[in-house]
Amino acid sequence: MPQHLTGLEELVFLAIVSLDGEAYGVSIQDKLERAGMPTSLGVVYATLDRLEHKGHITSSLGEASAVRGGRRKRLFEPTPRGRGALSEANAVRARLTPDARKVMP
Amino acid sequence: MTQRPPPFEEPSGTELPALARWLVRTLCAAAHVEELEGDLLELFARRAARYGIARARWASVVDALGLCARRSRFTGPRRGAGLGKAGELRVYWGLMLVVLGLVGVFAAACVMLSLVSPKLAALIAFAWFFPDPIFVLSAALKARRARKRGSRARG
Repeated sequence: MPQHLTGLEELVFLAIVSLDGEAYGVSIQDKLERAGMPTSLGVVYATLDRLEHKGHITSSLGEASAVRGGRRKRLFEPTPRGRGALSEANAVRARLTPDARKVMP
Repeated sequence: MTQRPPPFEEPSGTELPALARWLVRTLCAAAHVEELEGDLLELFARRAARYGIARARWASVVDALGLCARRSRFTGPRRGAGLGKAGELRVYWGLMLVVLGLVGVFAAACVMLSLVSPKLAALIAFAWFFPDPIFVLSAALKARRARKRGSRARG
């Protein structure tokens, strides 16, 4: 059974892709907030857990930094499966949008 | 005697609130404590510079509670993952026993309290079920008036 992306999962996945290797909890939350979607850190991590569980992203521990008191970041990367799910979501949206525009221009 | 160094070095001038740190270290899955504390500290430093220390502290505690609820060591998608169906069943059976145990302890505490001090138990139960202070106050006033009327009628 294909693992589809839900609404928030898609937005978090897009944030990860756009951060290009620098995606971790705070940077993803920041990206979403700047895009007009403020969310709590807990919600971001819950969504990341779901995405990782579905195999759309992978995570690894990065370098420690002074700003974080010597603690390492968990960096998230999209997988080919995740990119495929995003393309599929975009295709579904493209198929549905023309019909929806007729009713709600 | 040599002093043990702290597990992580805090940056000067900013330190994660003790309550937020305690919540993360106690309730979150051990594998995620480092990254979560780092994220909380980064957010704390940013908020402290923007809104002040007091507001940043509260926000950190709220964030820590949200993280613990979703990345708890007791629940979450990672709990029991990779253990197979039998392993997951064991994990959730254990969780159910923990919840039942907590409910049992709560019930036992209620029974003990009602045996030791029925008045205090009644007061707590009243406050628990009617937490609206206006309702509680008006109910108390009505009861007082009724008691006075009763005493006058008897007198």
